[in-house]
Amino acid sequence: MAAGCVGDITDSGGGSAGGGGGGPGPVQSTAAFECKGGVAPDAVPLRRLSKVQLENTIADLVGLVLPSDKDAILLALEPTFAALPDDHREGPAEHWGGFTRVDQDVTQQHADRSYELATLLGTELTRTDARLGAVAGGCATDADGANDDGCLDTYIRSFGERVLRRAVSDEDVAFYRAVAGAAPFEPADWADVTALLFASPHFFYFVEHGDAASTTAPNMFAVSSYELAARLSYHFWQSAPDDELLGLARSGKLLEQEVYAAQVSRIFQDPRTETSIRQFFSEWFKRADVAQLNSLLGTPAFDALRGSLTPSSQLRQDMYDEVADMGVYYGVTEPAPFDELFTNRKSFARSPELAALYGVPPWDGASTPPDFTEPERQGLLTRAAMLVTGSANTRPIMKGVFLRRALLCDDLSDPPANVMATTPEPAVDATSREVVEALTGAGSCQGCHQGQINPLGFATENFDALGRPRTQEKLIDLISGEIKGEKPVNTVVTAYVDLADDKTVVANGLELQQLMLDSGKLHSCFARVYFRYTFGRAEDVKRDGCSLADLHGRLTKGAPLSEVLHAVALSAAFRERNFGD
Amino acid sequence: MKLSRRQVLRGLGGATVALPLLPSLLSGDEAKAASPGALRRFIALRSEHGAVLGSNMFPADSVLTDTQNYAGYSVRRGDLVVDTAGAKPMLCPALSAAGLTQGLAAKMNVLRGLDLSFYIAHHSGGSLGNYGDSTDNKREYRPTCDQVLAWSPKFYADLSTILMRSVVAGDKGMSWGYTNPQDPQNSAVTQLHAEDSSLKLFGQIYKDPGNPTQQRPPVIDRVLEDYKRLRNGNRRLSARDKLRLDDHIARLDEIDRRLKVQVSCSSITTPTKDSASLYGDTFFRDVPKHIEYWQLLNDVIVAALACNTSRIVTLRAGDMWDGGAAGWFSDTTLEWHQEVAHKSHQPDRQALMLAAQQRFFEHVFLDLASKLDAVLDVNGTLLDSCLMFWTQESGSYTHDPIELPVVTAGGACDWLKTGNYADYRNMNLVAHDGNGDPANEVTHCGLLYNQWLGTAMQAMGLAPADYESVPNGGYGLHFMATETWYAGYQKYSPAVVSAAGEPLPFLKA
Repeated sequence: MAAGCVGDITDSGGGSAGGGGGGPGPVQSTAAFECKGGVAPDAVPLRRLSKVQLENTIADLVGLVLPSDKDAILLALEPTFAALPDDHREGPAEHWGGFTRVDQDVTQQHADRSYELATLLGTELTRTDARLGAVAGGCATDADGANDDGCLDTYIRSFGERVLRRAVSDEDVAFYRAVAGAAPFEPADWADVTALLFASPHFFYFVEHGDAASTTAPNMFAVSSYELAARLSYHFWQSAPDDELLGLARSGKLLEQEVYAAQVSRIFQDPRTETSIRQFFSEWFKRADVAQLNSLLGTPAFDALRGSLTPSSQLRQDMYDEVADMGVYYGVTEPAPFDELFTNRKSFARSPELAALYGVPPWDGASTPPDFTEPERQGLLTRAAMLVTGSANTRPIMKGVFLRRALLCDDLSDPPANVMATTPEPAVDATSREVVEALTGAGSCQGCHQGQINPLGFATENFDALGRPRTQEKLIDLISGEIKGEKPVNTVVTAYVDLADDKTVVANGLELQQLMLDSGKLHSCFARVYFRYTFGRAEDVKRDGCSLADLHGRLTKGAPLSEVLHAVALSAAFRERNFGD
Repeated sequence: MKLSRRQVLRGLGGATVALPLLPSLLSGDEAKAASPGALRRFIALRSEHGAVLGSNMFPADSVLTDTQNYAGYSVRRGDLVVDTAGAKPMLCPALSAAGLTQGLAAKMNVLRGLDLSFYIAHHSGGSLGNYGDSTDNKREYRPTCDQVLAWSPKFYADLSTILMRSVVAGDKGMSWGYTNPQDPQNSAVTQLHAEDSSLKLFGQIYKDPGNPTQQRPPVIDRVLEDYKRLRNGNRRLSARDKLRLDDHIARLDEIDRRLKVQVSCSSITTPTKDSASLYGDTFFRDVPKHIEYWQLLNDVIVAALACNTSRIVTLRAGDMWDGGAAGWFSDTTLEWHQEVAHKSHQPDRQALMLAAQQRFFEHVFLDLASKLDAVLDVNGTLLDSCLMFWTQESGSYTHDPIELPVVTAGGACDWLKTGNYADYRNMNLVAHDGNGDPANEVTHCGLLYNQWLGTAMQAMGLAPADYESVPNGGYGLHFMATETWYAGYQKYSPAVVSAAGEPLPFLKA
């Protein structure tokens, strides 16, 4: 049994990776993409609304028809929303570069809860005459039973168009009204019709039938105007189309090139887009291996590390928010080229606690963000969200895995099989880097760790486990908390950013960041992850080459990030659907 | 509403007389007569890692007094005898608990020497037969055996009271099933959602008979029709779109079925505290909260089984992972996964792992068994109708499925013999030789874990033809190790493999 490895480097308790028996080693991601004509991209079959999209849609629809009762109704729905399974970040490397939109699981719980939501909405929207009148019009509550038939038909056509996100046909009207029986209608009849609309497959799923056949590839069809409106609004707003978009879908004008382009611009510039872009950056940049920063307060080793700093239960989220804010700032608020994410020196820390950790004033979210004063900080890699662990020691391996998988999109092979091998005990006279080097420097571990994983984490070892700059590492006994001494940190690494043949040596995280930019792999990885976020599935380099090449091309030409983010909606892939299998 | 106190506890044979009054969701009436007939029930519990040394996890070899030639070697058994000399009654260090009586031990089995014949590493479904769900090397997926039961007309001959075909509980799931169990040929196998909130779970296993919102006929039939008219309409859909619609239609059918359920429990008390409310920044190292968390879930499970709104439970107790600071039934501040589980053969870390697994046994497994044993059923207690078992993700070497421990309770309506410590190891066939290991832990290969799950399925009334994947005997596919370094590489003889379809020795009544 070979000694050396201490465990599965990528394991996050959810069972993400185990031993691999010495796999083939990391697989270099493609740095450039090729657009070949005649290739049909895949499609997510019967894509469903994400949990966020479902909640937003219901909130918006309720707010539209019953603005004053919206909060009360959403409160009544809240327990059912809470019982709906959460979406998990999914992608080719699980949560690394994964997004909740990619989670397309539909379990019995999804069916149960969506049905409950529909019946609850039916009940709540019609609970009083005032609500019913506001939702369906005065004809629904007046004493004249003779107008009920027309009233119900009109309601199904108008409200149904919003709920179903498509034109409501005569056949649909006949179907949905049948549950109410014959006029005159009682509130419960209206409740049933409303429930039926919200329980429709057209509400829970993005049902797409397509329109005209496309010439791009076999089995490809342009999506219809309603389907395109839904794709657009859900991608950027996470919710249903507004009146303007719905009107253009109804008239079919949305399919006209200029009209569509104008709508893409309008929608992207709408403030609601910010939440979607925030979600994208938040999920991309979120490390899953970070514990709550206050969870080890009062324990000897962590207390020895933190000194006078007492992290709150909010600090971790503040750090996550900061990197998402940075993405929104350069992607939407003050558009800048992609590289700015990795070269800027601004602090986006809004909370006093995080700002104090950076030694800058809190950002107000509106004015120009303050600049870092610490020379060690610049770009993404040196922000606290990329550095902290929640424990007393840094985790170079996990930092490296995050960079390799989430930011460079390289495919790491499984950890070695003998993860239960006898392990050298970490010494209290060694830095974290030295411990990791000892643990992973022999046997089958070293191939991946020494070359592809550890260096990416070592380069930012000039920050401690709370994200504070350091030149010396405290050598803390993990059990007693005793500080045994200090040793200088070493951030010099051969980074192997380009796995093929790159032996460039960098001095620290700042130089590593620049090397990652220069390699082009950050740009190609962004194209991949934004593709996943947009289309709700993992990319296929060959079949999705055109979309990826377009995104990548704009990035490498230095286009503003905003252009890249919204241009995806102009691509053919966004407006077409493969109906083949 | 305040939790009621169980007023009627069983005392048959004095088996559980040591039990205190336990908090329960059941009124006296429900506790007296839980179900109308002798129905079998299946409960599987799984904890992570394993990593408990054999000397801690199993009774001493000295109790193995009987031998039998089986599959080409000698297998052994002995009686489970509770040692009351120490601080807590015990069968072995890991199986010790204040509430462990000889009466309860007589309803248990401890099984040793059950292996997966390949390296599975981390997994969620392997404990119930979806061996393809391995982080080491994903292989062909199969539904877990609980889901075969859940959709078996033999097991559920009468669904008239069943609100949940299976309760999938815990902070992580281990059950996998077809996306459309009514059409396995065209279905993918996916993991089922696990419920970690005892209140939400209660909402799913209990239907208030007086709920006024259910007075009006539900619209589910029209919803089903809506899906079908889309599915069968003449507008363009891809074949995969249609399969997704088929899956959803099957789920709507299940809702339709459940809406017609008549629940027999009329006076069940709604719990007021939610397991999920116990989560907090330090939950992962808060032992009392861990215990309370799982016992809140246990109470709902007992209610579901007693009211016969479900007869299948799977519960996976994961690491309570929170970033890197995960802990599990332990107040240590060490990272549970890397610093404890992966170093568990170092003496101080073994002590932590042993204490944690012992707490799981005492406060989750035995808590549930005791509560079930306190509810009268037609021919004994609820526990007597159950096959309840606890296993772990790995054997004594974490990641390696060799000597997977299995601790059972209940006799499945007298199908199983109980009170046994059965050891199926082939003592002439070393797996890990202990060289280089801090504990010098030596393990041996034994019978296939498939055989255990097959035994469990037969105990639930199924025949091998109902669940076997020809020619693989037992439950689930047989995967043989291809890695020469693996401790179980090429160590499972044809006799062992061919025996996998039989009930395990010593267990069939």
